[in-house]
Amino acid sequence: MRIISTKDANVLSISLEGELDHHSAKGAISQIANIIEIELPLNVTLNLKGLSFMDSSGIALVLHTWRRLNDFSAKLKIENVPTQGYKVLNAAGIPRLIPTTRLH
Amino acid sequence: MCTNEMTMTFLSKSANEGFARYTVASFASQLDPTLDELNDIKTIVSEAVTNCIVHAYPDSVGKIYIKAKLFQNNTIEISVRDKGCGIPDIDRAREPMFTTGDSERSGMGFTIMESFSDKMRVKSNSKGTTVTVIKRISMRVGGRSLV
Repeated sequence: MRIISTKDANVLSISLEGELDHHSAKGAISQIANIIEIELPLNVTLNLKGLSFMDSSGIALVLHTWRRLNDFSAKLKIENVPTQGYKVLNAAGIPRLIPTTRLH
Repeated sequence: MCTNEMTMTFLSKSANEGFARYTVASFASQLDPTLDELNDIKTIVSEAVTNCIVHAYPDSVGKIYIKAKLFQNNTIEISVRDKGCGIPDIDRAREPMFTTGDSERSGMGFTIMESFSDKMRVKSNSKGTTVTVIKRISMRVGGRSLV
């Protein structure tokens, strides 16, 4: 699991690459929390284009990040979610809570 | 009628989650599933194995047993068994967003397994838990025959 973050003027973009499961989730959640702690962004985009697999650990990661951003009224968007990952997020109603776009 | 069967046993270490889902998906590929169906199988196995690691053996390493059977009607039955502490209240455990795990757990494991499969059974007592799911694989025109 690789996490890459880039920041322009208004948006912190965090890209996830590899497989997100229980094995990788704890490290990924704390790594993202650290990035947010340092950058204190107002807008965050989670780019999931590079995720080849995601189970319900992805739901926990998204909710964890969303709650942390809510603490200081920052906004979260999820982009480029592959079909399998979208099905997982959709089962938890995430797209109704957080703006989410699929990978085309 | 069962046409093929495999069993595997491995330790409840999180590094084995990927190994387990890829092995079962590889076995299931004999039914000529679509990529989406294969991903459903990987997801189901990942959730079931994670449950064993997090809940069945919370403070120890135990064994996880997977049995997969292929049937002539193009279905796969996957059983994931542990000899852990058991689930005290199965109905509650199956509720969406219910978890006794840490904050990196969503409580959606059973919900995902249920919605990604055609049928799910959970049996549990103080000697362990068995989760069995049945997944039908669509017959494709020009696809490989199982028999």
